[in-house]
Amino acid sequence: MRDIDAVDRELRAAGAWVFTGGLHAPDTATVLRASDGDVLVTDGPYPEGKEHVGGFWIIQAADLDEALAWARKATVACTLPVEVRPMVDMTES
Amino acid sequence: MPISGPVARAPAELADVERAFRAEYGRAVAVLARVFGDIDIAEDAVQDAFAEAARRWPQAGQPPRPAGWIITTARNRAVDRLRREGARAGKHAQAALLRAQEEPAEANEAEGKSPVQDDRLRLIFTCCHPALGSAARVALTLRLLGGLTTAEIAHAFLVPEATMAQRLVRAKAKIRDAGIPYRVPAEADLPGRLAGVLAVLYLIFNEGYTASSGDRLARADRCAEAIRLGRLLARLMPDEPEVSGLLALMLLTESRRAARTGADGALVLLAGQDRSRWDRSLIAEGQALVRQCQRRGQPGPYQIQAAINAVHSDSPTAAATDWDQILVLYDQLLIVAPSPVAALNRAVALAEVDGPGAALTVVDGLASAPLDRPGQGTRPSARTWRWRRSTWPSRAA
Repeated sequence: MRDIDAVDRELRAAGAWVFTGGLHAPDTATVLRASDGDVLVTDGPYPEGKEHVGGFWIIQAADLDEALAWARKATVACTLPVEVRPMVDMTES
Repeated sequence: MPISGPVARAPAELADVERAFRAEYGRAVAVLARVFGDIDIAEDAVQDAFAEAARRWPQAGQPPRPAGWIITTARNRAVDRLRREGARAGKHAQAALLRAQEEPAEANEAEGKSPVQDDRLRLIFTCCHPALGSAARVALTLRLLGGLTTAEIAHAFLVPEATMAQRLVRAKAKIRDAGIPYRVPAEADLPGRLAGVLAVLYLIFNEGYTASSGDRLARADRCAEAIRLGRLLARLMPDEPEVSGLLALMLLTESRRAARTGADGALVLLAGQDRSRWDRSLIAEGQALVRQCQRRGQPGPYQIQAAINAVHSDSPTAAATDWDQILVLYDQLLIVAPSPVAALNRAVALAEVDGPGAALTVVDGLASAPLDRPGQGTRPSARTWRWRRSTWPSRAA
């Protein structure tokens, strides 16, 4: 945790930090699904699997290499694989 | 169909355009990709420019600087089109237009951050980015830098053209959406990223050299293309010994092409090859590169493999092969890049030096024991291709 805090501090200092979130275990999940005009509520997780998302960073980066440099620090700090996904830019038409 | 250019059988008056296409396509796309920040816009623009060249050059004659003409024409065409399309074209295209109005079309010398400035170098690092799958890297490199058509690449890799087209579209979309930059990586990332680029070139070469399927001409063309890109990279990155090492390895391997197949089309192994059919000029070029590498004293896996090939190419007969030296080189290779293939090849060399008994003991132990046999006490040879011990990095490094 201390390592993750350090990465967050570095992200903030660099102006790259937007948001960080850690998630509770997958068995705390509740799944909602719209079908036939109704919404079905069931216990999670969705989907079932050995691997699950444990948390996330939302950062600003000029390009993939910059994002990968942060992700490199993140995976070392949390000792878990980190997947980098670009967010859709909502200002793009 | 020979894969030599966009026009399978060009009429004489189009030959100049075709030659310019082969020589300049990659550079033009690379410059335009920087100018517009978008590969699709760059490709369309360059294709427009070559179409224009095919119309105009036969009458007006080839301009004195064909590459400059193509780049300027492509840039103007793309700017015109983006302006015409205006707001309809979307924010992405507008951003490209804005960017193009500020970017000079000439090679950008001002940037200073990266060790090398050529636009093709940026583009090759984009095409070989680790965020792209291996098949996508190869296809993009051949398409954007080699100027091969989608049909030609599909033909070379024995996949339907539609499959290859889709692979290229997806790869380019990933470059755009994930923000893979057009940039030579920073010094800290350069060794790892350069290794990725070299792996792509060597993969293209080996597809051509060792593939058992596909027609012979197409396979030879893949090797030629890999060597062409290797020469380009060696020119752009003269300070990287592994780049020269890979080029030397490809040249020395290629020098044996004619001797590799017998009259019946069957494969002829090294020991049985007619050495008079080896290409002496490729050997001379490859050996000169290996010697350059040795003077630098920073051996790496490609340089050492090239040196092993240099020893073979020095030997007038298979029986005269300097196996002592090859064994030392395999020892060195196993230190920098341990692999089962290298270990097995080393055992072959050991059989030649110490007899089959010693080699069999090693082969028996390959599965269980780590490999460690520092090359010692070898006899001096007429020509030395191995690295001096003083320049050799310690195993811990």
